Amino acid sequence: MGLKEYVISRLILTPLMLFILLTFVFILLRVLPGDPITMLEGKNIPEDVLARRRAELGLDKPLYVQYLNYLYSVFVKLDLGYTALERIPVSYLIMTRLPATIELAISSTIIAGAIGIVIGLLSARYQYGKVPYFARIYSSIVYSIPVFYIGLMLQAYFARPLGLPTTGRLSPVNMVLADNLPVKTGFVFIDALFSGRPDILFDYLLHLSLPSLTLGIYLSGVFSRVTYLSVEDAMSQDYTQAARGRGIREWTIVKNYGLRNALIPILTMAGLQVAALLGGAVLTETTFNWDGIGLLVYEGILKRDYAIVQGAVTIYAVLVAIVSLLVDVLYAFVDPRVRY
Amino acid sequence: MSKPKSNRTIMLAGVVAALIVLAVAAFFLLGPKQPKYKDTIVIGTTDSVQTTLDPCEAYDYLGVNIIQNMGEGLFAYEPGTAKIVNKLAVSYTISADRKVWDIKIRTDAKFQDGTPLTAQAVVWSWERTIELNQDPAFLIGDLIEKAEAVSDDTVRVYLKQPFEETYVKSLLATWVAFPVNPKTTPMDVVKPPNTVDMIGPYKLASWKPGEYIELVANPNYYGEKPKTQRIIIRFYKDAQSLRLAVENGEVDVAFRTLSPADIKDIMSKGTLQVVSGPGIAPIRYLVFNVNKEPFNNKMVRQAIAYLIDRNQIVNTVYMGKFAQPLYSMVPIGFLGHKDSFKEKYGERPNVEAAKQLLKQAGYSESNPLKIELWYTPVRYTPAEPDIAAIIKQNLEASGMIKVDLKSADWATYRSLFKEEKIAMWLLGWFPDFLDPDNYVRPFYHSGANGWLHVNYKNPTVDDLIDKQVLQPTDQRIQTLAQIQDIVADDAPIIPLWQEGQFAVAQPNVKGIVLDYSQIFRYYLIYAETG
Repeated sequence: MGLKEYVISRLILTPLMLFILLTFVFILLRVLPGDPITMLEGKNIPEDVLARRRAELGLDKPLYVQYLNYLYSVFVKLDLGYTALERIPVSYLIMTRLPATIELAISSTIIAGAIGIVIGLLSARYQYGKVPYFARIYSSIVYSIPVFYIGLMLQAYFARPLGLPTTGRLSPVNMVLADNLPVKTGFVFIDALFSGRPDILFDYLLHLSLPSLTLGIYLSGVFSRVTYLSVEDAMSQDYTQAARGRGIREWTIVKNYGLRNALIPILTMAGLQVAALLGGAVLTETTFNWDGIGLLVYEGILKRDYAIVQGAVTIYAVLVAIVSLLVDVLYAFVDPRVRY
Repeated sequence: MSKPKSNRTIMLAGVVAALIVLAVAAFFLLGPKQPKYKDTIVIGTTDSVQTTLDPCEAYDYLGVNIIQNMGEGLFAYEPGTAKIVNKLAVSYTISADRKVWDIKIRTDAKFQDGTPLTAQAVVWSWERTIELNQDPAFLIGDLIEKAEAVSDDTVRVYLKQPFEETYVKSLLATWVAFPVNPKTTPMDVVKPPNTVDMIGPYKLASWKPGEYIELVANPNYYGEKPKTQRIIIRFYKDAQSLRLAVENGEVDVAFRTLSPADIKDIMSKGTLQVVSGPGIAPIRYLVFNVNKEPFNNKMVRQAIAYLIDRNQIVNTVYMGKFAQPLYSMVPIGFLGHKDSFKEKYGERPNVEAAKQLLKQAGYSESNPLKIELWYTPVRYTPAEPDIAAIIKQNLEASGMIKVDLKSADWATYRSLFKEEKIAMWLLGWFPDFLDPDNYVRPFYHSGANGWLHVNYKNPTVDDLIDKQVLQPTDQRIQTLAQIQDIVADDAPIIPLWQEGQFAVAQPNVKGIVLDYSQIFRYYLIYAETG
């Protein structure tokens, strides 16, 4: 099977995965008590008005009809629907929120990768000392602490002394300014940079620092473990022994023989971590009031807004599918031995 | 021939330009020194806009409040008082049978696009609200039979019944009755990120749902222009985020809702100002499903009414400052308010009286009454669990009651009492309009309290509620007192406290007015900058 066939077969499997996932989400949401209109109740809105609202959303129909309508609109009309109460297109909300989540995902992956690889390499280099011991403790701790707890700790102990903001992507005044810049991609980093607004860019980087550090620290545990184990494995191979025998310096061996061979497992890990990353992003976004998809899902669940949650899950699924596909394709570039 | 002429023109233009420059310079050098105001004020909140910003549909606190800053009605509440005054109305006359009102309106008011306000526009706006029949449409739909423009500046309103005067005015002051521009408003609900053109100090500039709303001063507003050109309303997910944002200066004013404990902390630090005012949003109360065991027994309900210590809640949770104990569903400050629960059950808990009743109902120390108390932790105040714990402690002080505390998020909670799976739960009420009717009918009238699932039905009370809105004011007060006494005795609902309002602001912010109208007027807020 060539690369092309592989990619095509993976693409065909994606809608199937999406179908299973959406079915699961549909059932989960319906098991929860209440529906979107519940949020309007608790006031004396006339019953007939509430009933009409439910009918407009199709909530008066039997569940299987709702389910079929839902699948039809996602897979045939490619339409994610409207939010229940405001009646805003979900696709619009997702498009305005997606850049924030991608920004957070990329920056925290960079941080996680940097921390993880440094710790991993250090512990491989000094594998008979105390470094691996401490590295292992670090990894287990950050991996097992809930991500929002890391966020709260950073807020409590770092934000005030360092004067770092803890809520949102920008200060409110800059949020409005950023939406009116000449360059408009939705990614604040790009928009501010190319519109020549260093002040907004600086404000953005300040706001980004703690959330990306939070998620970065959380993910770095796995990265450092995987780096350490794969480098260590490579370090005991015959070819590294031979290199040592030739008198090559230990750091050079770690970098050129160890890390190079460890890249495949690290990449695999990074691919697998996308799901964890997005899950962590939900909690990080809610902790820092970061206006991304995670915050949208959180609010959607509380409001029982089926369309928002379903739409966001669809986007998450597509993202995970695309990234894991990219990772698979990347293998072939990193390791010439990999063939599809 | 043309050359000298054009030279003259240039010279003339030069002289005019020089004069203008001189005049401007003189204005700035010699003119009175104007105070400078901050261009933008950021207001942070944990509320969200639940539906739209169309006055025919909005029915949540924040949505309605923003509409109150972009529009106004024929009548309005005077800032700082509970007095209802003419706004777009100039004067009115009421017919002898009290069923027909002739209201004369201002002739100098314009919509945002410059279209003048006419009686026809008022009538059209009301018809639109009633025809579209969205959530709050009944507020004027149940009031008005028909409205017509007698002339360009006079609206004639035919009421469905000869309602009492302040009742009519308080309904016509609601946002659903705000005039909207007939030229630009469709006969359909206007959805985010848009709104409709109204007559008010601000207009919508931009709206990113779930993130922020930007308002700018409306240049065509007939009234006093706001000192602050731009208001940004920024949404926060919870009290924690809001507090952090106001503490690091990203937000100028934090309004609704920080926890009382946060306020206490902020006050002790002293770097931010805390502005407070009387409040009724919400009033808080305990509901029984009177069809369900053991609360179908009036003695059990009365025993609980004897045991609850409102002062303990107000003093410990609200520091005795941000809430008032409430002894009737009609709040303090409202027409006809009477402390019926205080008269019947006393101000302090009466354990002996409660024990007596519980004994009569068949309970004892060895055979205690076992009940569940339900609360929802997010919708009202972040202090809700503490409040529930105090009530549990109050009830258990009798030694004859065992309370199990239970909580659920709003959607679950609502389903639980709607499906009548729970029998005693805490709720809060945000008024639709500021009239005592809105505090008795939705709770005690069996034709209107279906949403609550209290299942209380008392034909005498139903009758009195229907009667009070049609009586002249002094008679109405007596009827309201009668209603409050009966429901205090029946005790299907126990009023607990009314929550005050508080805003936390940067020290340079001025003009925050918090009063009984519950309207947070952005147009009065400003900050001086040097």
